[in-house]
Amino acid sequence: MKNRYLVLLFVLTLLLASSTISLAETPRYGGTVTIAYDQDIASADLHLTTAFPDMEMLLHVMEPLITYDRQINSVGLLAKDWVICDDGLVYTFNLREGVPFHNGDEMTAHDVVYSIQRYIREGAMAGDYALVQEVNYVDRYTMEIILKEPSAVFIQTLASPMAAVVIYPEGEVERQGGTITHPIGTGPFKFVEWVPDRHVIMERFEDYVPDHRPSSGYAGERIAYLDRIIYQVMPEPFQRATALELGTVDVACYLEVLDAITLDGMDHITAKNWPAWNVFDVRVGFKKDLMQDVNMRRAVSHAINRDDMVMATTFGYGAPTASLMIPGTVWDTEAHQYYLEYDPEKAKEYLAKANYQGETIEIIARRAFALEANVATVLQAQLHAVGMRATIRAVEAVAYLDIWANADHHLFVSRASERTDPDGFYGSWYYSHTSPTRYSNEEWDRLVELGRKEMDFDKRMKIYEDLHKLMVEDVPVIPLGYYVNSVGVNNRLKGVDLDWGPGRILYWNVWIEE
Amino acid sequence: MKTLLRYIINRIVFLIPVLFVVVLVSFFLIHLLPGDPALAMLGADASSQDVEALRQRLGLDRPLHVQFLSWLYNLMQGNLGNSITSGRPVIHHIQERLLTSFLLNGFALAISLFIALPSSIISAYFKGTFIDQTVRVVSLIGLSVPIFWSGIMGMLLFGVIWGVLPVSGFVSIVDNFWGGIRYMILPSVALGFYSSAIITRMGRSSLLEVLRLDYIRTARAKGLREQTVILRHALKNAMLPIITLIGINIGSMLGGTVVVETVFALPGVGRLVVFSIYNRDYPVVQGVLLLLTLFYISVNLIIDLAYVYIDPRIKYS
Repeated sequence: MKNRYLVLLFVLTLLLASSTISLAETPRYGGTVTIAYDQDIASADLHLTTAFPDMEMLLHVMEPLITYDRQINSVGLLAKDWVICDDGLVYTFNLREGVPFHNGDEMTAHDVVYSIQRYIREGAMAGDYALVQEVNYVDRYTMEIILKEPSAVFIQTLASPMAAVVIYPEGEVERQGGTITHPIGTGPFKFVEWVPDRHVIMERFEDYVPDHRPSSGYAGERIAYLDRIIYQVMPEPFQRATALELGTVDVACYLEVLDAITLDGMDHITAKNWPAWNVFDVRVGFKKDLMQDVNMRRAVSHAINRDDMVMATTFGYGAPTASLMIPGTVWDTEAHQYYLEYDPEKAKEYLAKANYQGETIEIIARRAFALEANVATVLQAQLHAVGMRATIRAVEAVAYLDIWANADHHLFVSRASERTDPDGFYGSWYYSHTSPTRYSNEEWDRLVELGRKEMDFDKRMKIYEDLHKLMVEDVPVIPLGYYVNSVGVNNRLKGVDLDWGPGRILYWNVWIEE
Repeated sequence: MKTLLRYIINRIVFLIPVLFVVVLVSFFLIHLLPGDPALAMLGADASSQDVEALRQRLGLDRPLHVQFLSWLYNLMQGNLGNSITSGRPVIHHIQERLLTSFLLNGFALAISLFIALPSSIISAYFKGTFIDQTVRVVSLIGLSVPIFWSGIMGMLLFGVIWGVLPVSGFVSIVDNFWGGIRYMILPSVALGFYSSAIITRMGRSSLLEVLRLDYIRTARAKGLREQTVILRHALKNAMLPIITLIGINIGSMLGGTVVVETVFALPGVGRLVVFSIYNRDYPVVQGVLLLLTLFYISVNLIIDLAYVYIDPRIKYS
């Protein structure tokens, strides 16, 4: 008898516990989330900017035709699907029906044609669309883009959030005086206000019509549970960490690694450091004589110990890599793991072949980015260890870009955000027709051009594997490691993705626990 | 009165060449800095064609003197131009931040005077005593401690440990008066404390000098109360160098504003100019410098006029 009561009590306890768990995990509507963010947006007009904060915040308000999922596959968002004709020149997009803008109008092909044409005319990265010949309206829910020549990267270009071709209502730019200052989009959150240097506020769009494909990354179902999102500008990492600790904000973005470790020990906070998709690398400048000799570049490559580099610069939370490809994606194949191993003796042999006489190698790094300054310091030490003289020039961000654009460097410590296609890496930095580095390699150019035209996936894969091999052996750039995402979140927030490589927190499908 | 009015008009007329020199020098100085605003906007991955297209759209491909004359022409019509980064009018950027910086400097000045005037009087009156030594040590600390450090320590003590004041973020005084005041306390104290240290030291030595003069001895011999001797007779004459220093201090506080606004994440003009210099947003930098110069010159004019009120022997011709 006594045992029966005990069993009953046990079963009741289990039921109660399971119901509590399911209650806790059941999304609920309402509440305001305040986010401590490191920068202000530069512009509210996503067509005119490539700044990360603009993209990260405003893609909650505005949506493109195509976006990408967790594995960086291109997926329709406002486009239901698309068809590419046999010659690869005509792309026909079928739009989702019944998608309203925040002004109440339905999104149609007119709006899409208008927005894409505007981007091609004035967009920040309009050059990416130089191969577009025509953008045509077909019917209310269908439009087409005709290219001048076939392109294997066109869909991925459209999906890129770095130069987001978001869809505005037709005529909206003109109504707002030539530049969008109060964005009207189709996203799950409506833009409320931007007070420069203070905050960006958005609120739930009640009439939002979500895509019903499974939610993944930027793609799929987006449900706005939160009433309001407030991005508060707090430039210093300690401010963001302190505000999260004191509970004045719910999320602290771009924390210092050590702050995230400290915060994670607190009861009300989950803070995490995890490897990012951002690759940090060393890029060679070819304007100066010293690095034009491939033996010098190979010596640098052999002198680098990636494990030590990652441990010293990211406290071990990053990950070493020899590849520019994003881990876990289809492009990240075995062939991309090939690299010139750390071997000081080989480095010295290559130095001898290059007849190196102790000339000073200048390493450029951005002063404001601790990671880059630390990478430069470790790199300097590793080069010294094999007998190379190296100095570091830490410069401010704009001067740094100037040095890059003029190839006025030997080695340039940098980092690259994720790309929707390998061409985003290989085709931009060292393709001789567009590269600012003065690198000129016919084989590299040939492979880049082949990769852009080849529509067969397997053949493209092989092309980028060949490019990787060429990159490792000719050494125009040396990937070093994956950077760290460091974010802290108040535990009352549920559904936050603290694993995804870009490290950007998306606030759809996120709710506040009661 | 007429001569004073003429003096004021003369000063305002002289303002024009001063402003011209300031904008001319600042325009060419900011353009001397390495860096291209178009590249800053588009980033390292932008193709040179995109960068060039943006430079053309922004008018940055024109010769420098043409850019300057075009900016000057717009200025004559009361147009400070548009921000390169955001595309919004520069005047909007400044308007949005002016109140914050104005309040910060106003509160900081009030705090510095609130601390400095009594401290300098007490210190001078009790010269050589423990009180005097204490005031001098505290003011030396105030002078030596960088504003950013005192700001961070204030945040740590009052925000993190005691939790009585907000550590960062901002609420406008317009939206919520008391909330706004709470956000202003720590930054104003950080800025005002530094300034008060300078004024205290100057005030003390100025008062000591006046207290040695014969007319003070006469006042005391007449049997006036010590309070009257200090406040009515000594302080008024000691105020001239203090007021001059306050004028100079307002200028240096504008520099301190940049630091304080950054440490406390206040959306003021100081942070705007830093951000704009980093992004080579030339029109915004020009606009803010013009405004700051105007402000500084106006403050100095007011200070010069205050001399007449404090010391009737001073005449302007």
